[in-house]
Amino acid sequence: MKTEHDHKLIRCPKLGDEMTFGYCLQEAGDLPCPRIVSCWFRAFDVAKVLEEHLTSEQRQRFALSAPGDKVSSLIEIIERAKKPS
Amino acid sequence: MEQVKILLEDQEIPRQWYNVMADLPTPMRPPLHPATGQPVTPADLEAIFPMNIIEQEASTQRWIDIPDEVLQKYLLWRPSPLYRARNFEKLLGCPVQIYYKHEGVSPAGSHKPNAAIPMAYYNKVAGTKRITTETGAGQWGSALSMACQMFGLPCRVYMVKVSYEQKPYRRMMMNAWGAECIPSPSTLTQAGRNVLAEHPDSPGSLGIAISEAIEDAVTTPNTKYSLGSVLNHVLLYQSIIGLEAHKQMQKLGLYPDVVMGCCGGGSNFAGVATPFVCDKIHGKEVKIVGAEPTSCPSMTKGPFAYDFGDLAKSTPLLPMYTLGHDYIPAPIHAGGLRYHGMAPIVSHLVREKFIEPRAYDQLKTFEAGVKWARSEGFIPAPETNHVLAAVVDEAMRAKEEGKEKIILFNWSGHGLVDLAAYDAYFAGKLQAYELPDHEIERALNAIKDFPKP
Repeated sequence: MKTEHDHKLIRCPKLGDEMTFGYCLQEAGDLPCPRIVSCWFRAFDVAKVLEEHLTSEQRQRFALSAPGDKVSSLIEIIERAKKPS
Repeated sequence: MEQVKILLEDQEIPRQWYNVMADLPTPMRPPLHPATGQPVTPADLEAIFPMNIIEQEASTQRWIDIPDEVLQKYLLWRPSPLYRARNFEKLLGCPVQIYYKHEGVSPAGSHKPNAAIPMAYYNKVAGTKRITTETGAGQWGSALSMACQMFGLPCRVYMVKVSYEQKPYRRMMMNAWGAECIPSPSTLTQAGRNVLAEHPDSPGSLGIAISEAIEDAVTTPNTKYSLGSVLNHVLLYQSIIGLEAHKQMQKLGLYPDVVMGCCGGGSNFAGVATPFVCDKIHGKEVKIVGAEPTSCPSMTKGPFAYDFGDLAKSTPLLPMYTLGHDYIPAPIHAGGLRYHGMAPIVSHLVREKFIEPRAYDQLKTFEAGVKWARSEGFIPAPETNHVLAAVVDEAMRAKEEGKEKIILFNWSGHGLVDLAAYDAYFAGKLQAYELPDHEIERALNAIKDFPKP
């Protein structure tokens, strides 16, 4: 997905690096970074951009995509890694 | 001649870490297992952490001895100097004395080795033969690489590919310290291969890199994983910063009115703050301030004070605002209020009002960082610039209030490997992307009556 904001730069608190809005939009594969709204709400109407660019199915998955607290997400990843591929 | 540095001798280094869990007036809720909803047990984590670290993660013991082997490595740069920022004070012209812990003197240039060294040590004594981790821009990855080398442990770091390409110098640091640095997603893990199969040009993400590092640890014999922030044992190890600062301020016969740090995952902030939080819990008058970016707040209030996913999982109305009305609310979960990405201990202390969070715009932070570099000489890491903006703010408040204040803060690392960020700032590429006030007000008003998690 392409938007007029893709080139805008922000310091990413997860990476400790400057990242573009275009990166934030696809940080989780075909989904945006779970922090995209809180990172960009002061810059423009990011919720509207998401509504325009995500399908209904993507919005559903996006809403449920954020990890829980750190320990819980570590356990989820451990369990996933233990399963045979 | 005016004194600038307050030093501790090697033999004055603190011999114990401080665990704030012992002094919390209200206990923290234990983390819950995502599948069972029951409190997490040591067995849930033993696939990635050695048991001695898991015990510390859950410990409520107030003081924990620092092993001699760890102290011996700390002595390479610790006790770190406490500086008085006399030039910055003069520049600001406010009635404040400004003291800072210089954590940029570590070999890796930041506070991160304070945690990396005990992690490598505890893994070594527990029989771990190899360590994996992930890193974003490389601050943690380089610190752990150095620590693993010190204890003879091979280390593999999965570095988010976009940063691997943008930040070559930290990758080179990792290599210099003998670690493998792998751009993530990689073909070395199933998690990485899955991503590459769907998105061959994926720039990576921290989530993917964590998945790769954990999978590597879980599927390789005698291999464990290390995490550089957020968790309780990381904050415990970082308490050495505040404990030293406490002693150094005592040497001067002073006690700070305000203690400050920048908050990313919370480890450097908690490191300087928790020994003073202990004093505050026991009745001492001290203000403790955590500084974070306005753009990505974890602790301060905005229309989206909590992460989007937290909202989605805990508050059925807010996602309707953000995602449109076809959203089907997820079941309300019992996690309650928390600040995603922030250490649970720091979140708890914010809720209990022992810590005051403040947010600063990215341009203000760089402005403060440049003022600092041009007065005190040292170029701060961009994260460190957040606390510098908070120091400027506090100094101006002191001036307005006509009060003299002693400010102590943690200068968490240098920015010599982050000069591209300064370049972007000087070139005007970092902008204050601010909606007009009335637009932000509109957004706030639209959700003001919604239930909060």
